[in-house]
Amino acid sequence: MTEIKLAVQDLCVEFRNAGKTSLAVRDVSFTLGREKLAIVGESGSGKSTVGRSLLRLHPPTARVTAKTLRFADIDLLAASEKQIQAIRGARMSMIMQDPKYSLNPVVRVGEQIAEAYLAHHKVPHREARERALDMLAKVHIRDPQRVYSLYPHEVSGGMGQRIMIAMMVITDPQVIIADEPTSALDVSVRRQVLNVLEELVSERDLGLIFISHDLNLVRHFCDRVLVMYAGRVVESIAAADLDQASHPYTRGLLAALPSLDHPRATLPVLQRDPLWLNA
Amino acid sequence: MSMIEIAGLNLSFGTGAALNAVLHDVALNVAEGEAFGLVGESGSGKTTVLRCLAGQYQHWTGQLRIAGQAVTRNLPLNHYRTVQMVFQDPYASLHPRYTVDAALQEPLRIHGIDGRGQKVSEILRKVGLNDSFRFRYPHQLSGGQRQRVAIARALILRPRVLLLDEPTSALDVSVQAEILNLLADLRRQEGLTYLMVTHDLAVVAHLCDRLAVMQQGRVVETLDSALLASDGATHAYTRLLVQASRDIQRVPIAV
Repeated sequence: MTEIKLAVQDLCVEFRNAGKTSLAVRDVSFTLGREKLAIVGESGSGKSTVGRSLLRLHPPTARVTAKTLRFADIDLLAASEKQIQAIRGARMSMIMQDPKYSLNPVVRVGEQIAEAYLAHHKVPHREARERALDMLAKVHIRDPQRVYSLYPHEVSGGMGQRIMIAMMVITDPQVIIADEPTSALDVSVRRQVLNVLEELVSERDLGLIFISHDLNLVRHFCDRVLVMYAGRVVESIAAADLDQASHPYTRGLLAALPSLDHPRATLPVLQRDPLWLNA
Repeated sequence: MSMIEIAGLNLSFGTGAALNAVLHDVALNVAEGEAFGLVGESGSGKTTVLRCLAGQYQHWTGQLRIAGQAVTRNLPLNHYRTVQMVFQDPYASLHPRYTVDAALQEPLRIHGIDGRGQKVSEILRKVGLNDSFRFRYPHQLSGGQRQRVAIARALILRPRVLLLDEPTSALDVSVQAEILNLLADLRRQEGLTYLMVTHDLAVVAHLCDRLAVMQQGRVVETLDSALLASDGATHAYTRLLVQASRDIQRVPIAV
């Protein structure tokens, strides 16, 4: 691992709603270097909430506290809105789950990629266009010229997700947060998208946070895995060692997966232990 | 006896230059009590086949028979006492302002069946819920509980065939295991026939006896699901699917 890009210590996120407060993330700590870090867990375990608090994407009703929340040399908690804007999308960016909902339906996809570049660089539009075309080629889109002027409804899901990746990477960020980037995609298309991400991470000086609920996928794709349950990190383990996971929740999740090669009559169902909440 | 017979099923949308054929001579046979998987990438037409059987499309050509009865253009009411469907997303398939009780009574009322209260409690128990869920609204249920209610609603008319459209793809792995177990148990107890659409080969291998692989509106291969693990698939596309799901999985560990 090279230098630390992101340091998080005791991150808590609290939502206030109709007088009630609920703690969505509790005491989460991790660091990110030049690596692929996965955050896995069920829906509602707080994995996306962690990703969003790094980019300050929460509504004002959310209260984010932490002992440390540092990106490179910037304290993300103390940073002004202006500083955050300079980071968001330029030095740290986020890939959302479903390209169908995250692309602007009435703007050509190439323009959307160029716009991401123009938002952070003072260059002529022509140059931004050129960079967008380069970027499309880099995410393995065969005919960038043609795809540049398509509208989002004219591209397939896999292509849409690669366009989203192009848009997020064009500013050459140091950290990318990918929030379930392949969940809306087919198995066959998923491979392509993962390959593109893999290539970008190995070519550039990039740290990737890969948020997913698919343990099987992350154990092949990522270097390190954080397992979250009810807002807490219950286990942090190297992806290659997942087979030796010690926490019963991680083991339960792995065992609950149906398998092609090892059919079983009934799948073991996860038994939740209330003690995990405080462990 | 074949429970579901499909022969020469063709379907297209649009006319003239915009004609888009989505199903080409689809043929399938599902035996009584069998669980049959239908896999393929998005847009290959697998859900469309289910929709034809459920009577949601009427302009198809070909022969469809369920339990020996031909599926006609204008389906009689009792068709739905033989065939019911469970949809992909339990968050979208339950009426947000109907209680569980109202949602489950509706099919009974449509079919003029008496003793509804009794039947609702029975079916809730059968899907692993109980009477305390009866007067809740969908937003008061978790994703897995909602899918249980959707399955209960499909089963309350005591159908013989369940059409399952990706019943677990919107659920977490831990909840997916519960629902797959429930579906396996119900099939055994009730002698149901399943036709299940999915894109997860591991789910097919777990629940189904046989499967058909679809690509661009055609059935490209039909095989026993036991053959998947032993590399018995012959069509290139099937092998690609097997490869893709094997890439991302290894030996499961024991708990």
